[in-house]
Amino acid sequence: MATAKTRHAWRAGAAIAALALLNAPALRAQETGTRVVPTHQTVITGYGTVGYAFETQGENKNAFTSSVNPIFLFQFMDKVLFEVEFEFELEGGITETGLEYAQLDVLLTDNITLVGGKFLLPFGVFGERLHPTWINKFATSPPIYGHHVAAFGAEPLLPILSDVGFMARGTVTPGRWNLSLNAFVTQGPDVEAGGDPAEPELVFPGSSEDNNTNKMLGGRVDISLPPWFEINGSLINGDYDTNNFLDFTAWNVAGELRLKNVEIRGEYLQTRLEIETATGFPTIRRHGFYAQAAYRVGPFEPVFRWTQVFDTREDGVVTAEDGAWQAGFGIDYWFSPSIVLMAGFELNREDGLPIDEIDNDRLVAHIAFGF
Amino acid sequence: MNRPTKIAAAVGIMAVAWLSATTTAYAQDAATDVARGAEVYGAMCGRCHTARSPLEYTDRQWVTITNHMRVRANLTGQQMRAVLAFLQATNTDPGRPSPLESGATTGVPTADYSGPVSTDPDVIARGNQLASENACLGCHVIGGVGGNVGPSLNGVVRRLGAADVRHKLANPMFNNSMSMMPNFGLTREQIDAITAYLASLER
Repeated sequence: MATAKTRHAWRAGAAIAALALLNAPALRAQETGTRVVPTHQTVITGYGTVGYAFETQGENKNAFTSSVNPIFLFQFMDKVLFEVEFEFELEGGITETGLEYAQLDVLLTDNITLVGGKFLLPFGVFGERLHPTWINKFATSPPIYGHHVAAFGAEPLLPILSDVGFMARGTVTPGRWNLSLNAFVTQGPDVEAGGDPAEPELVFPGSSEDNNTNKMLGGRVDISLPPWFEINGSLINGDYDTNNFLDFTAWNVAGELRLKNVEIRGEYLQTRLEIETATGFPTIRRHGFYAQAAYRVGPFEPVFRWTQVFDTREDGVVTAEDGAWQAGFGIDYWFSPSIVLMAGFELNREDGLPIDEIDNDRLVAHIAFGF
Repeated sequence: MNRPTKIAAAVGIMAVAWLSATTTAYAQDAATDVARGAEVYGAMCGRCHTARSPLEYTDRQWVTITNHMRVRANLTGQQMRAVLAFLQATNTDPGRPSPLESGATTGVPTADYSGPVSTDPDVIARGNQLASENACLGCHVIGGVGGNVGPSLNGVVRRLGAADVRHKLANPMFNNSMSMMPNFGLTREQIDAITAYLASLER
């Protein structure tokens, strides 16, 4: 039951908040020059993709594909923005749905934004900024990230990370440079139920529930000299078991170089997963990278991407190391700045196995429309 | 006051200060922001995706879209407002009647665009100023910088000829009915100056 003091505090807070709202110019239309801008505004945007995929092996050898990601933006003055992105995708005969993000952005100052809700984590660059199909210049995602990587010979290192929590973002612009820092606290990873404890399969459910009391902490530091150069480093850390005992860490370094029509970018990603065995607490370390080059010539843009993943199990001594690589060759044709036809061929190879057993190569073509 | 009340009061005062701030600036100093906005648009937006045409959204929609991108791309509020000023300034109908062409949108020019290209330093300087004011860099590369919504303007006078460059500036849709280039409503004197400026970069 609330005490008298608590009730007084709530009343005082409510009164002050009401005063704040009444005092806000938000309740009046804003006049800017000769135009009146409404205080509330809604915009629907997003992107859709239709395509075709052919795999030399696997279950889904020859199929058409379709997906749409509507984005809803609700703005209150230039102070608050609520952003929602849904994903609808055909998986066999079922329409898979997902909530990529549902976040409230408080534009606190010109340099600081506070974010709450479910958001794409600023970890690396691909997940937060590049994965939409009309932005990603290759027809598939780099297979270090778990997004449409069925043909690749190794498990992805991480999914596209979206989680529930709070985040602060800050940017300063000394001279022509942009320096930004993003820091967040979220629910963190969970472990797939019923799996082998010696090789736990981590999941990032982005759920409103947490399997333990530990929260994942993370952040990204970004330095850029636009449009020529950008480099950033990211880190996440949290416990994944119900006892707050077993640790998961991942870090990423990403960079981009741009010179006229040439764009070169890449990301290195490493994950370290502590596990419990009868003999101790060894670490499973996995790491990998992708590097991509694109060259724009008129409406055409040839793209090449190389991806490699290494699996290392450290248990005092290295007991196992294998991995997989992918070479991707693509060509894009831009009908407009946000409508593109992409065709890509992936050469997928897995270490340690005969080539003729694992050559799950893939041809993917799609039209992506950012609207 | 007890502790919760103090915290509530502090939060309330901060909220009052924040919400009452007079920095609401959808269009503050728009004229001076346009050139800066074009530069930021080409440099920052093009880092991740092809820069979109200003014509894809309405002026009001751009307000929300630019705030969305401010968060996603870690832009400052100042950068965002400059980009918005650029997008709104160039969000004009490419098919609107040209003052030189009496409403014609395609086909044969109805004005004479031939004639020598000026090498007068004052005219070239005027062209440079107009190119900056109209934010050509937001969509086109000039020299080593600029956006990629439209083609590079390096060598454009040599490639197309001065008459076609002038015609394009007067009527962006004359050679491409799908063109997204804004019609800036330029006068012949302004068109000649911009053409002279672009030609001067080729020498």
